[in-house]
Amino acid sequence: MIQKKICMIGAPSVGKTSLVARYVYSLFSEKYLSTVGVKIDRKDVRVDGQDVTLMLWDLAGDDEYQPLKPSYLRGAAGYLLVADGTRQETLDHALDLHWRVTRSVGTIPFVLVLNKSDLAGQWEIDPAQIKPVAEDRWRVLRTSAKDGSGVEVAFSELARDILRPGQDRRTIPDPA
Amino acid sequence: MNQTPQSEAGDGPEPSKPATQADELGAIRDLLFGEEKRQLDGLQERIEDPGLHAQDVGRVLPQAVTLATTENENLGAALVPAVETALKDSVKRNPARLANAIFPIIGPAIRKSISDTFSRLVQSLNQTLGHSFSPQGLRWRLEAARTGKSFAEVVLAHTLIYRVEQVFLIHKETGLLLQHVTAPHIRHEDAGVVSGMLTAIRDFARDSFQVSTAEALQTLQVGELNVWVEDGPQATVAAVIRGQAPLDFRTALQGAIEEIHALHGAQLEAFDGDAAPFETTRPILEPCLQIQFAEGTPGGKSPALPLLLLLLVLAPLAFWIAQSTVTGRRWSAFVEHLRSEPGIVVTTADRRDGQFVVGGLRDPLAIDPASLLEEFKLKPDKVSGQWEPYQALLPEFILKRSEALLQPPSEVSLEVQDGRLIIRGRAPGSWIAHALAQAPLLAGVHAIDATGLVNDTLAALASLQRQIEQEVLFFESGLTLKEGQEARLASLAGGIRSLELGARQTGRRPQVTIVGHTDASGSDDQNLRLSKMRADHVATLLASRGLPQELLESIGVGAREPLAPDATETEPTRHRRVTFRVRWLEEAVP
Repeated sequence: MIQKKICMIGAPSVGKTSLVARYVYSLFSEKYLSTVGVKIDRKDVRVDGQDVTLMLWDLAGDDEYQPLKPSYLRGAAGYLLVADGTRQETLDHALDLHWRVTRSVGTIPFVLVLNKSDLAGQWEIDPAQIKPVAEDRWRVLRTSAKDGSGVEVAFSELARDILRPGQDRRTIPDPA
Repeated sequence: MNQTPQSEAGDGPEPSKPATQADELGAIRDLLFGEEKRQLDGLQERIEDPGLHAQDVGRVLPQAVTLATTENENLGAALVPAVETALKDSVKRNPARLANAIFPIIGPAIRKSISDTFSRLVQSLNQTLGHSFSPQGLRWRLEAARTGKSFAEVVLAHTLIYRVEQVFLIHKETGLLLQHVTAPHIRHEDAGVVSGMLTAIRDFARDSFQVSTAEALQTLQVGELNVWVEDGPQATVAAVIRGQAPLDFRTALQGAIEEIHALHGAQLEAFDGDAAPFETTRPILEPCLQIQFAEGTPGGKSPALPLLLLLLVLAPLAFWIAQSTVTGRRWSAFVEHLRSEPGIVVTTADRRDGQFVVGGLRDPLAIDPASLLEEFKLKPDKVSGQWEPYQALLPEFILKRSEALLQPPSEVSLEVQDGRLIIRGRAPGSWIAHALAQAPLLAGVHAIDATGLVNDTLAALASLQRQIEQEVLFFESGLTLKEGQEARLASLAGGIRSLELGARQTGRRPQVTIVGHTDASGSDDQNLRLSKMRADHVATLLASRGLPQELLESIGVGAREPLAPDATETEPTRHRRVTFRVRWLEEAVP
């Protein structure tokens, strides 16, 4: 079976670990995130008739105390760039992370995830802010680790992009 | 290209001059480069002609393969896909061909595998036995009971120097698992996740201590577990070790990662997440699953000792059980056989104080039970018999008893039918009298049938009587016997003596009358006197040979009983004779 390394990247508290927890049963506890800075889980999925094992590297939220370690990105086949839809600054942070990741490992498939879609009333990210990246053919999805919406799709889309890198991206859903 | 200045000037054509120049140049060119051009043409032809090109490549291919194999191992790796494809195609087309080709190595490989497994099993058994029969083993049993662990776990904890429980082959860049082998009965977590975390932890350590990318964490220690890591350019091998492995185990890990790179270098470099090609690394990694105990090694003396002790304890026990079982079966068979023997009635058969006892009734003429012991492989000193005598009334036993009591002559046969003893054949009168007197006393004999029995004595006496009465002794003249009559007289005396002895057995006494005869010449009175004298003379001769006088009587009949009516005158000597008559007196001689 094909294995692929996928990284979860984003600012602290955007819900990366919750997305993984919604997606898989974790073998290791979250304490690894605060110690080693990464927690790894595994998820077997089937994409377009092909079985693939996703090794999910949940990287600790990037901050001044625990900056993103480029060594953890090495060998990644793709990544989920996670931002908190209720906090504008996490999107900026995500865009910065994307630039740093690209500089570290080159251009690889990724999906921008705007998490916490269940908190619609507190939503801060304006669709206009997404427009530039959408025009750059980024895949942007809204998810909720709380109710599970969009989670499976986010991982599946990323896996599909990894396995079929030449395919056209589909319509970008309106984050609003 | 090689245009001359004249042609560039364009002064008008000179029909013969350019051609001459071209010829000259061509000649010069041919002189200077003709040989090279021909060689180049030949080379071009060889390159462009597939047949010739193939011949050239084929000529150097074996040497090129040999050279490439000795100088580096890339050729082997490069050929792997082609060879694998070729093998797949071969199997697809005709599986039997490849099966036949590898058949000679399949058997030895399976035998080696079985042998290794059995060896490990014996080692494990020896280990456990060794500790089961020692004070230390008992202490460990107590520890197992106290801690709730299995005895095997406790033994392992106390005796294990080290055991390599898991070996990971990890893609260095991605941390993805390429291969994973484990020792038997080892529980482990998701190897793929562990592989990733191990990679992450090593990255974390490298980043944390600011070491170069070439350096990395090579050993982790967690309680009794050690993780030894050896890196190659593209992959990492990590061994999870319980206990303290010797330093040279690291050499084994280095050897494994080097071999894997040598065989799979290209695949490692092109790795895109598919670990299937690395299935073939399993035979390289499995030998790394080493184990060593503090006490006893395969083939060592100490594990064999407890096994030997156990055998010494168990062997006599097993022998005794087997022996008892076998002896018991033999005893049962022996008793069953006795029950089927005629003339034996088994009433008791059991074991008393380690002794077999059998008893009952036994006809003395039945088989001796002791004589059967050897046939049933029973020791005589282990079997005692308690038999009471009785007389079996089976026909065969009546017959045996009859034969034993009567002891019939060889010409007599006995038979028993429904209690009737049938006697057939010829026997002396004395035996017949004895048999007829004794037979009614035999148990089981209710009647006697002797109609088929001939009294041999009477027949013999009758025969002897006939011989005597046919005897004639001739006289020359007067009382002078003819020549040769003396011998006949001796034979006659023997016959009369036998007659007398035989007659005694029948209770009768013979009386032999000697009758004297004369020829017809002379008067009757003279002839009567002479004939009487001849009879008396013969009686005297017989008596001189030991015959009792009272057995004999003599009379003279003269010429009244001629031998033949027509021989009277022609052969007078034939009438000068004595003849014999036998009569029987009924009174017995005491």
